[in-house]
Amino acid sequence: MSVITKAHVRGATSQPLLNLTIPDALSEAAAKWPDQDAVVSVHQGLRWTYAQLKDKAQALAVGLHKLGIGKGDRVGIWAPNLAEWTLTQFATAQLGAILVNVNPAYRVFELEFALNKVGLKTLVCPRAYKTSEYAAMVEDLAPEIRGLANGAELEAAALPHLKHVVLIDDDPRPGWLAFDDLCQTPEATDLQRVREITSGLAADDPINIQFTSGTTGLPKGATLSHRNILNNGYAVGRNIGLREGDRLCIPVPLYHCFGMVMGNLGCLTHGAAMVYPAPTFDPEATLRAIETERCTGLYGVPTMFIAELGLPNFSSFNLSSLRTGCMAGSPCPVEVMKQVVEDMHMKDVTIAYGMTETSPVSFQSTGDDPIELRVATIGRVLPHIECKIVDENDKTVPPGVPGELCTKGYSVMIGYWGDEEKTAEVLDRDGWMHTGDLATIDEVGYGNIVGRIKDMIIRGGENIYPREIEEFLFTHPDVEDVAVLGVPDTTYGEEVCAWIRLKSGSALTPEELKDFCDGKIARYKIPHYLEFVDELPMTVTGKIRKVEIREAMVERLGLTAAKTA
Amino acid sequence: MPGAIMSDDGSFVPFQLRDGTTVCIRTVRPEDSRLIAEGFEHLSPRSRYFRFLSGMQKIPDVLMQRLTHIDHHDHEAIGVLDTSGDHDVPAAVARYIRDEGDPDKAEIAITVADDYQRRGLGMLLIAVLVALAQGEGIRTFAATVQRENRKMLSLLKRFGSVRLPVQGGDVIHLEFPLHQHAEDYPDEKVQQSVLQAQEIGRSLHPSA
Repeated sequence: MSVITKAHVRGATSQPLLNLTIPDALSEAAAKWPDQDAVVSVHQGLRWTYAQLKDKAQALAVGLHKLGIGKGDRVGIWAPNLAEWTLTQFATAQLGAILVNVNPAYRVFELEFALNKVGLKTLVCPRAYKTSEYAAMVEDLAPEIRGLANGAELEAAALPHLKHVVLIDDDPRPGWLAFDDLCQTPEATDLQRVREITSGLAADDPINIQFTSGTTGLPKGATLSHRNILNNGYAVGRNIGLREGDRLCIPVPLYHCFGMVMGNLGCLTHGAAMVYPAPTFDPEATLRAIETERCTGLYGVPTMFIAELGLPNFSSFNLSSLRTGCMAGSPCPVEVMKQVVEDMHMKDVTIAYGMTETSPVSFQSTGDDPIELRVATIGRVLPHIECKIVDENDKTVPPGVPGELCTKGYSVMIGYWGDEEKTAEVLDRDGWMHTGDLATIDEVGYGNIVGRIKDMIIRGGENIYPREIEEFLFTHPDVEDVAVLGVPDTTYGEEVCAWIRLKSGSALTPEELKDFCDGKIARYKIPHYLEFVDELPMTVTGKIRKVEIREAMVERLGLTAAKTA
Repeated sequence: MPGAIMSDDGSFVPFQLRDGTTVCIRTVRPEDSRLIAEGFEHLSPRSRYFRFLSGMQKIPDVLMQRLTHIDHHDHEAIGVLDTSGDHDVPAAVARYIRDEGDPDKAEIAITVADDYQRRGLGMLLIAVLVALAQGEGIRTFAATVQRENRKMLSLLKRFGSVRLPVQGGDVIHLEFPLHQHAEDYPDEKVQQSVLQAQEIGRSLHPSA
């Protein structure tokens, strides 16, 4: 391995990038591996081969096309891990329609903003899952749905761009189109028309929007192209040694890149099966699925692996089919990685690092990496990607010195939807994406994450933006000032902490404030530590100092974090 | 304040911005809590956040007390009013507060109302603070700026600011030295502002 003198690395370029659209990749997969399992939804008792997946995707594409969905239109999918999620992903891609991932944990507050920000034309969701009443929430926002006539387009005051709502359910619901109805076997002429549309698509076209956040608390829609995500899925799959006939267990949510890119597109480009154990993460269901489906690979955020390893009946599961996989989504504890290798049979397991805005992975270890590096670093830069570490003045630092990690290459997003200014804040004129993560790159190119310079919390693999929670808490009439931040936690990596100054005379209790949040914002965003204080620590001129709050909490509660890669 | 020249009516200095708007600059007085609250009301959420690193919707009483009670020695604050209309509109506030641990250093905070941004007020106000601070023996200005506040970061850079090493969190700490001579500043516009500000500084009459 050659030694570098500056923390700037470039991935190999010997193998060319894929210059394909996602529908083309699906057609290729159906041609190469027609009878291999493509999608296995264990909890739905459902199994599709690649040939079937392609046929179904094209059928649904025809159904959507007949509704008037065309290239560039935004179609939202708001659901946990269902086969229909993946079908919607591949069907919209046939038309060049942009799939918009809506986080199933969103509540009304978040939903309205996201849908309007991207001008969503069609929304697909199930009726309900556990305590999430999707259809009811949408109807709360847009009551006009209830009176919608068959075949008519929606005109909803709160969601002015939304034209259709599609329900994944066994029973019909007034105002909603039935997902299965859109999947009918198409007429030859309709199929031909859609195929013509597909052939006119370009790899650089936008095909996906996922939401991330920033300072003013409003989510930004990171927009990704076929080229961005297909190549990244392929590269990640290659790094874990994925091959035809492999079966990848995907307990991670499909609405993040880990699921839909590293999982779905990773499998697509290597002829592997996408196995969904449960609608949302369930450690037992995950291990059971590995056993019954003889999965060869497993994905997970650290919290998931910790939960699986911690099951009282862990040793009763036969995980001998496992060989490989990936841990990503938040800093990976070295000790957990060791256990995954030893106790879960995953000798080729890798760690990956990335972010939505870079499609997502920039660094990943591979099966070739010696075990000490594999469990304690984020590996090396992916092919065709360039990364550097810069100091506060944007100068590249020497190897081993911490600084901000910047990424450049095919994987960098197109931009934030409708937000040129915000895009320019993170994507500089030379094409470098400033990740906001603090990292080091060593002399031979191995990376480590050492901190974060963005105001973000990662709890159990979910990104949480303090500003969003602060803005929401301000909607309570008794809240005068609030600071939200992350504090270390051994189970989740970080936990959400809020210090609040109430208006004088308020008798509000922390429990009442938590109740206020319940049902209105995603549950994982509700602060775990909620304290009422007389004053928030500030600089002399009155600027809040979150770092002081964190120090106080860590000291008072003895909070610790595990050593991570 | 040593060397101060009283303006005609003893209170404020009229000044014209580069777009022709006439504004008045004077030091902040205790009774200005109303004006500061009004200015805060009109700030966009993003500007409020950049100033206080908080989404607060109103300046709390204790903080307002601090912001309006200045001693012109360890704490100086100047306000800018747009007097062109039928009533005074608060356009900007800028202050320095001496560091308790290091008397040669002071933290600055600048707020320019959204409607009055992009007219050169930020640069001018920092330059006026420089002029006033030098008279008090302050040699370095420090600032705490949110990463996304690019305008403030580039403005401070023109004054020669350096960023302190990144430590985590999304705020950036910067510092710059206050120079005796205008030509020691790296940027020509800043040099001009500094000269102009020295004039203004001399005309400001501190209350109390």
